[in-house]
Amino acid sequence: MSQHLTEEEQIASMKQWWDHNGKSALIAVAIGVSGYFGWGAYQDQQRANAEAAGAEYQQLVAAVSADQGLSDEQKATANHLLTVLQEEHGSSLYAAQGALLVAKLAVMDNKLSAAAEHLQWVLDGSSDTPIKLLAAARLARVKLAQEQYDDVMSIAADKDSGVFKSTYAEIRADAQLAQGNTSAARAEYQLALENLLPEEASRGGLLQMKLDDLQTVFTISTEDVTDEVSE
Amino acid sequence: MLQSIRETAKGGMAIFIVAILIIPFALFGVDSLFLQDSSQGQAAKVNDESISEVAVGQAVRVQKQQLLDRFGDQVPADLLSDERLRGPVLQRLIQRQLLSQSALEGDMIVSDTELDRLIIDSPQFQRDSQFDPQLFTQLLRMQGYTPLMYKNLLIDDILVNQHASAINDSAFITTASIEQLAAITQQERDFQYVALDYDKVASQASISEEEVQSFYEENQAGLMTREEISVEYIEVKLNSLAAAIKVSEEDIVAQFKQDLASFEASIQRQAAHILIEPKTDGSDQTILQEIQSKLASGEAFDELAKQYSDDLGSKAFGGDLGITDGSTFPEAFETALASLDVGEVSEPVTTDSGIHLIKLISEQSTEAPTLDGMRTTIAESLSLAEAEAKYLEAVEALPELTYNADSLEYAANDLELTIKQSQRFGREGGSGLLGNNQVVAAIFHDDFLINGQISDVIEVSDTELIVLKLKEHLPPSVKPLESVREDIVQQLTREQTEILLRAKADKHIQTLNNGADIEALARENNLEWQVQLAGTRQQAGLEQELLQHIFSLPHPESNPITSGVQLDDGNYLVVQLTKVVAGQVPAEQLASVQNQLAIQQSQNEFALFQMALEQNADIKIY
Repeated sequence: MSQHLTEEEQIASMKQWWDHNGKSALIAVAIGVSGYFGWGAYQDQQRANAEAAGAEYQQLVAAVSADQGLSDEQKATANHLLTVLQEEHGSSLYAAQGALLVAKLAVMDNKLSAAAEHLQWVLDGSSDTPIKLLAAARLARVKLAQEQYDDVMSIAADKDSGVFKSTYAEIRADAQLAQGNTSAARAEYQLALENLLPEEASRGGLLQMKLDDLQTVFTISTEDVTDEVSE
Repeated sequence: MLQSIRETAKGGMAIFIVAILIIPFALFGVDSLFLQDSSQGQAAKVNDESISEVAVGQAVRVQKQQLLDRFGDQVPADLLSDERLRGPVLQRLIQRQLLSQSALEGDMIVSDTELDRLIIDSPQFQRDSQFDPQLFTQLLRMQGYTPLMYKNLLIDDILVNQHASAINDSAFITTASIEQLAAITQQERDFQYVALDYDKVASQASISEEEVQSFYEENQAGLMTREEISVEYIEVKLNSLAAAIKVSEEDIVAQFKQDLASFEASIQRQAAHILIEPKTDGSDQTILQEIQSKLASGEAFDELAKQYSDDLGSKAFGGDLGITDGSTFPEAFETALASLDVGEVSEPVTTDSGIHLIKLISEQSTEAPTLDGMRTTIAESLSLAEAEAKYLEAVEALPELTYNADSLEYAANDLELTIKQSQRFGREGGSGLLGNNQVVAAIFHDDFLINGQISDVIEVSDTELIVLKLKEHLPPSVKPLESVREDIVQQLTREQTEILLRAKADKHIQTLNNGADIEALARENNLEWQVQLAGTRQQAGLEQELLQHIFSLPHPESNPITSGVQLDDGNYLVVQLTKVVAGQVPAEQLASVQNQLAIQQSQNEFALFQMALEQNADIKIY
């Protein structure tokens, strides 16, 4: 092909190519260059955004990490920073983490409904499954303290509970027990014990205690009968 | 094909193609086309990022060092083996990677200013409480990092910590949960019990000869002797061979003379230099002359090095380059150095780096060895060499000498080795090489155990081998009745006593359930009666089995709950639970309990969170 052509022929064919395609080639290069810089600018923008979120989050952490009780001023600062994070960087993980921290603050102050709101925000807004699973467990415990048992049952539902299966079951059991549904509670504690993962074995002792405490005269007498049969 | 692409790719088509190409280039850069993806050298892949074998190896070494630092030499060697450490270490690296990815995906970021501040504030990079850029690059180079690599590591560290502490520090426990927890863990129970003494009842049990006989016949599988064997064997160990060889004094002296002849005194020299890099404008010559004249006028070499030297690594130390044995620096440098007296500075020497002025700071020569100093070393190496020859001879000859042979004697005589006799041992193996897995497997192979053949020659390691023949094989057999009668009587007595105890207890429980008073019952039957008020789960002085039983009983309503429990010492207790009181946390302890429980809660939650990350990820372990 081209190596058979003389130098002049090559130049001629290049010129011809340029006449045909010069314009489109230039346009393509122009698009490429502007795309490159446009993408760069977009990335810079994203980075600046993320850095701003990071800075606000750091301030929030600094505000809530006092060793002893927080002053009202520090609490107000934390709440304000959280609002900024949620409004301006709602999709950032910093916003979700800020909400988790401020929710804890609220629980320690016994402001359960405020805590519930923050946790609900994480649950609604986040696309991150592990964070959602965690926030749901915490929200369900707050609802339990608020005695809103129907909410507990739906937030800590067994469906899609993943590795939190046992944790959720225990929370539901606590809710059932608080409502006086002893046998439902027993079933849920049983479920929690059966699904306990090796990594959370330390919870086993307490679960067993809770279950044992719900023994009835009926359950114990059947156990005795089975004991004798098995011997 | 290219031709046809060229023909069709014109006009709009060309624009389209170029436009498509822009996207991958802008996103991933040109290098993405050339970097090959392969799983070689990778330990695991977490989503799309891999963890290299090198990183795992390094983490294992760090872990090993930490264990050694913490526990010293007490750590058993197998706990420190790479295989043992690798699994958990890799798991930790994966979890870390997951946290880091989750942080990046959530747009978490470390700004450049923050990063710089962290590096500048870090004490390890400071000299005289000032950040020292040279120290920074020097320390990094020692650890094999470029500044960019180090910054990326640092970013990763910060993000992982930030993410993890957000999850951990936000864990809480509500007062309602604490109250529920206290109600159950601090619960108090009132109960009383009478004890039925095991020994008293056991003395009433009587075991007939027929019972012993029939137990013996029915339970023969549990009454077997252990299978035992003993073997005779030849083992060859390089160490023992070497230890048995006596090296004569003449041989040692001869070897020493040979060593001495080839001994070359080597000299260790400590060098310093001033480096002048070549300049195109000729200014290097001017600087050289300036330095030389200053040296001539008596200025100190190290001061001039600090001022003039172009070697950034050494100038701060007055040009000191450390010690060389003659092979460290380029030849021209070493030759010049070797010709100097201590304290003298060389004429300019040119190497690839530029022009050097070299100073010999000090020198030390190694001394020629003496016969007395070398005797043990020479004796050891000579006997080892002879032992190796003998060992190799055994490796080659033994298989032939023992193959299909009736005994080991012929091989032993031929190679001047001894036949050893083992003690009896079971399937777990004997002592020494007889405990080696390979050896045990060979011993319990049918050819060896049943057909009595001589084993293959087993090379247990590079320096140990063994070949064995069966001496005696005692298959498991039923122990004679006389030797086990005592045990059988004891077991049957225990069973009978337990039945008697349970029957007695059941009768008492029946009486109590019919409304009898436990104190009266105790007096009537001459039993010990105990009362425990407000007993807790960890009540001191009571048996754990009793407490466990009490706290697993249902709450009593109108009547007490009566039941029986056998303790580990055999005594049987009839217990009556009368009252259950929910526990409480004293108000003044609430805050500290809340904090403590929140920490426990955070550990649990964090573990689950990490597992959830793992479950949502695509993890491959190679």
